[in-house]
Amino acid sequence: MSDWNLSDPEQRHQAAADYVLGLLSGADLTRFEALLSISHEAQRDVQQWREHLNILNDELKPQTPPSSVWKNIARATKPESLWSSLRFWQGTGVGVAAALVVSLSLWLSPASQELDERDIDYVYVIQGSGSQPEWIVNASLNQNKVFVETVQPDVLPNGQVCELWLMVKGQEPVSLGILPKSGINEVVIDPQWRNALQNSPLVITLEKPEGAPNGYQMGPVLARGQWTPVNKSI
Amino acid sequence: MALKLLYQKTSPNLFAVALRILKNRELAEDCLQSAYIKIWKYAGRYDAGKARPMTWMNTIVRNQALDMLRRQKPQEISDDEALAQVADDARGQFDHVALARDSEDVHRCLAELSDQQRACIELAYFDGLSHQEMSDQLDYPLGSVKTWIRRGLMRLRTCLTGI
Repeated sequence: MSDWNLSDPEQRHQAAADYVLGLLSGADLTRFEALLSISHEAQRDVQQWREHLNILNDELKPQTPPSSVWKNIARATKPESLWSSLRFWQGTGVGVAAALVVSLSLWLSPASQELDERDIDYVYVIQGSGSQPEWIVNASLNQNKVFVETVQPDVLPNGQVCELWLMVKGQEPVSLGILPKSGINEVVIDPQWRNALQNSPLVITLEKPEGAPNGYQMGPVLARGQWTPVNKSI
Repeated sequence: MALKLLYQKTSPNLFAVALRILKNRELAEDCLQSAYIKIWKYAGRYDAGKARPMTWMNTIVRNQALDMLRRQKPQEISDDEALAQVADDARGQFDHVALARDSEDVHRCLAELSDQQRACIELAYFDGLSHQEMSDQLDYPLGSVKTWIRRGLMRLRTCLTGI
């Protein structure tokens, strides 16, 4: 049918629109998909059109699905045993979904709402060199604990470890422990820094296997970050 | 549990997309279920730098729903009545769009499209129709359908990017 000249940016952009609409077929589709697999520009065009055309979805009136749908999803995604749960979790399951929720909540609830502080979790995603999170740190005021969940940590040379710190203003930095190689670390929230938690930055340092002797003698800083509030109630 | 939170926040919007495409509650429920299991499995591929989360998830639901719709199609084609129904739906599309235009909260950029432009874009986006199928069902020449879509898309892009 139509002969797209995909080396022309404008035609490529138009082909991307047709691709997102599902209007490419036959040889046109094959050619565009081949280009898409190698061209960042084509990928960006497709992504732009997905965003543009998403206004059609935004126009639809939300419809609440019946509760049976969630029950089936929960059943299908439930880990079968502790072992499979651990393996699943070290892969790309729980942690990444948590990271997705973080970015979602940033988009979905930009306005500050009046919420009971107990309904808010604070999350900090520790991103490694790749796009995968390495750990997810989740502070639950409700449970009075900070959970450090392992996702996919890099292995450090010479047995070195990463230590997580809460930088409470005017106080010795509080160690939230050495970042675990697997599983979850739990740290009980101390009344001394509970109220300061949400506004205190986080720091990750590189340490010898035993960790830093105290908050004033920490090793080199690898990363700094802030908590992201995540609203648990809807 | 992260997935439950995600589900609570997003399922009414995603269900609306599934219903719009499949026009059948039972199928839309199946679609939503499969889509969330995919979202869970593929969460690792999500790249916040490239797509907004709702767009990413809407894309998964739409692809799932259109796949299901395509699997339904052969039955419809063997059934003349069902085919006539699809054709009626397509013609009714212009009226539907005209009605939507009257609602105040319609996105400014969608309101800039002509009824034909928006109807054809929606027939491709939500009903999975090809240019030829639209031309057959709307009883307009293939060239008109293609022009409506092309111009509609350009107008949409100009409005959304503020070029």
